[in-house]
Amino acid sequence: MSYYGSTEYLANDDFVLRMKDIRKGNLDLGWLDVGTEQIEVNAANPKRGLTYLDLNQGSYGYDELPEMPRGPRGSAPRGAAYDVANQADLGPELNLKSDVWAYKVASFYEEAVSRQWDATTDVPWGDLAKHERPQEVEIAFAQLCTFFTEVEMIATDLPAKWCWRMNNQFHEVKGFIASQAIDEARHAEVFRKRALAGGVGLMRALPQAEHSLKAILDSDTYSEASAFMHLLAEGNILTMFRFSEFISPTPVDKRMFQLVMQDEARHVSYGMQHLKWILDNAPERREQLHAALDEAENFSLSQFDSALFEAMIVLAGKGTSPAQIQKGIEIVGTLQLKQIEEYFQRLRRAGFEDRIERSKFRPLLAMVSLANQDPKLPS
Amino acid sequence: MGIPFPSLAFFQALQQRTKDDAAAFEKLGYCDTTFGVRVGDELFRVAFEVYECVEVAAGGNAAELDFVLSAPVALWREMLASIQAHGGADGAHTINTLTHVGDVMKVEYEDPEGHDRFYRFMATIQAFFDEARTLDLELD
Repeated sequence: MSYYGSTEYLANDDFVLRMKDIRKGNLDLGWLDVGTEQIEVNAANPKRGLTYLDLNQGSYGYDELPEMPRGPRGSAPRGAAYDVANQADLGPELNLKSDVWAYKVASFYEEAVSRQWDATTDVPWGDLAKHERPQEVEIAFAQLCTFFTEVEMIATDLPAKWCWRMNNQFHEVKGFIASQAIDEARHAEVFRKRALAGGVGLMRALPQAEHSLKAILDSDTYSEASAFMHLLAEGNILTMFRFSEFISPTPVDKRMFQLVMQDEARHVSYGMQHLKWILDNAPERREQLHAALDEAENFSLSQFDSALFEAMIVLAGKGTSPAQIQKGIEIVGTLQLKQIEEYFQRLRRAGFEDRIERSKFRPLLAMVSLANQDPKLPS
Repeated sequence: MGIPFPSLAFFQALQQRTKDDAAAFEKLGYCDTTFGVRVGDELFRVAFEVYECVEVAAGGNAAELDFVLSAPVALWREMLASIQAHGGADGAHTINTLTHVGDVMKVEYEDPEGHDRFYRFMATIQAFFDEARTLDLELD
């Protein structure tokens, strides 16, 4: 215990007397006339139910929330009456709307809650044994699942690390990243289950991945962490999920990747909309984000040389013969181009087009002779 | 006599399936997107709201859609034949697999946010096409 009350209530005569008074029926009832706003709330679409978007009105809404909402630093819900002088200061570090906000964040939260699924029962695990897989392909798939399990554990920690640091005025964002934490925990669960259910078990944890994940966790600000994780890393993982569905050895795996893909795409969309919100409302942070992504991209490059990369080649080629490896290299090359192309598209959509000129991915593509294969990439 | 493909009647039949099989679509969760299906030269517009398909139409402006799934008639027929044969798309014919590598089926989009909706609602979009397993289709 590190936070102690300022009063020993049982030794406080005023408190004890007041408690006895209430027991006699002498109520104050002043709280009945607190004067908070009363609004009419209806579900815009009864099928959808009552959403946060339907509550976006007056003092309860988020549209009118200023960049610097003065007021409670405790757990007073937005729109409630509060007493600043007597409120516990929870010391939130993220008190500016631009620190955390994203366009459409309330919609992302509602979508997240609605599209939850269950790794235990929504993947037809019992069908796995019906499908024969070459041993080398199953081992490569287990390596892929080991990597995904590592990644998703840190992706669970990251939103949890920042959630309690956010001012409670931003509860839509807190709700969204709480939903992200459970999404990522479910992903870690499903990949662990798949690696073990396939009979191979977990393979090697990858140092390259772990350094990259540590860099995400240790980001100095939430927005830097979000740019790194939501936009860059999860964007890359989303493309890898698509790739993994494509090369999945069984329908069971295809189902698994269709489900995880949806969650990941929602996180990426939040990241893109948070970046856009910052650039629209706090453009002075542009250079800070550039610097964060300089290093984030540097860490991402390390993924191109690892057991993961080789496992993906084996999976894409469906084996380890020279012809299969050559085929795998070609398919994985396409995946890498797609990862970078989609990252650049999201940067443009967020209004961060100048990032593309500075990106470390452009010289990388030139070095590995991929740059000329896709005309959509900037020259 | 079966439902011809491609035709508006085909998409209307799929739309009805999202109502008849409502529990399956509600289990998958909200799906809010308006996308296109280009079959050869023909464009069909498909709108989802909350849990179900609320509108299908022939034609429309592709630029106003979140994304367009575009493939030759023969490929769509092959995909639907797979769905009918297996009770759902087999591994080679899921929407993700067809669109991922090699531009077998193209995903056309102007706005990356619209494109991301393709990923966000992938399971619902796959379930929508898989409902073709219940239809009497003319695929020749």
